[in-house]
Amino acid sequence: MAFIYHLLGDRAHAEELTQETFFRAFRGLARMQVGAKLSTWLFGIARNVVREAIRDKRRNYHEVGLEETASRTVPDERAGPDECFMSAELQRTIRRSLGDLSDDQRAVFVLKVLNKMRYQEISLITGSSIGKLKTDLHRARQHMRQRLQPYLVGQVPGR
Amino acid sequence: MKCEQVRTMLEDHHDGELEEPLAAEVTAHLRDCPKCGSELAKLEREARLYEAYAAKTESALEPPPDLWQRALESPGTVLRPVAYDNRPVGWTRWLSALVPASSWARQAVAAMLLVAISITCTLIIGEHYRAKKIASLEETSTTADTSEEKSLETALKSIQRAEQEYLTAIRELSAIVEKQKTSLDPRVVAELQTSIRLIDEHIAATRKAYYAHPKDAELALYMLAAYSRKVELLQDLTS
Repeated sequence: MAFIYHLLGDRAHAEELTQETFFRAFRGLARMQVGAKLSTWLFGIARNVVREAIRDKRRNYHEVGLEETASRTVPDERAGPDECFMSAELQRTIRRSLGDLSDDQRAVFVLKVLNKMRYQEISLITGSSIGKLKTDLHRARQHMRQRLQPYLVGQVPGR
Repeated sequence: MKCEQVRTMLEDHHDGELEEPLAAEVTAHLRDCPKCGSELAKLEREARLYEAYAAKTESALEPPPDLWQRALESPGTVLRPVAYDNRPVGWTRWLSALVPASSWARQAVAAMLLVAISITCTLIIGEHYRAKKIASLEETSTTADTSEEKSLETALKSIQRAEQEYLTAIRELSAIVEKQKTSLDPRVVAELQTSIRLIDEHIAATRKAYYAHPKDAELALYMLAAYSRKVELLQDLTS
């Protein structure tokens, strides 16, 4: 669900699309290739579901985020040191910056940087070559770096 | 190695995507070059920021309890990568082997197994979120308890249903094996009987443990895994 949320930036719709992803996965279970990793397969379905949703709606999902509700669902006293420093403003900036990326750049950034996947697996999910993934990720990182500059200078997150 | 070369590989190095011996060369360069080292430090700082964001988002995105409930009741049932990754190796093989089978009996078994497997996965998911929910609601009021009881009740029903599905699948597969028995090598038959006896003992033991503690989802999973092993063995013989 987090993967879908990162691609969309909209919680309510992410929930809906998570259900849709699982529904499609169940229907397509028989078509899954022998030896294929289930997580790769599910991420691939999720990505297609999100792409279709974006194409259909053509709206900027990244405008409304979790920051306003996060403190309700995750009490701050339970948060670890890394999470404590993560202010609502910074979360909003990251989410909106993700929203500025192209679909391909956002997908590789979310899978590689936030989900820590290998290029090999990302390539299976997205259908892109590893070369393209690297270029997209490099550009995505540059864009994010630029947008997050004020938070990166002189501040060591959570350490 | 020169700085320019290292810079082009820095992201890959940071991401753990560089192969040896290249990775070792870059590491050696970074040890001796403060400028490149500082570039890597920037990447690491960014990575920590993103990690914190991912953790924060992940924890804030706990799906509402009724998301799984709704999915459980829908024809699609829920799957989750984590749950599947933890499943015994080999299950995809027999599942995939089942589906294209020509015999109508095997197709029927396949359909039943799909239900049983999806229920098992749902249980894993259900338990995962139930545990998370308990942790987050420890200090809250009785309204949470009611919803908790409801979700537990659903889980218990699902376990019973999954057990029935496994039993039906085992019955169907056993009938197929029984018919094929005469054409099998007597040594294979003897081995089969020993294996079946051992699995049956395992099923009996886990079943006993589970029914003594019906609220323990972990015991339920052990029991269902034992059933699953028997199905796997029978399936190997019929394929």
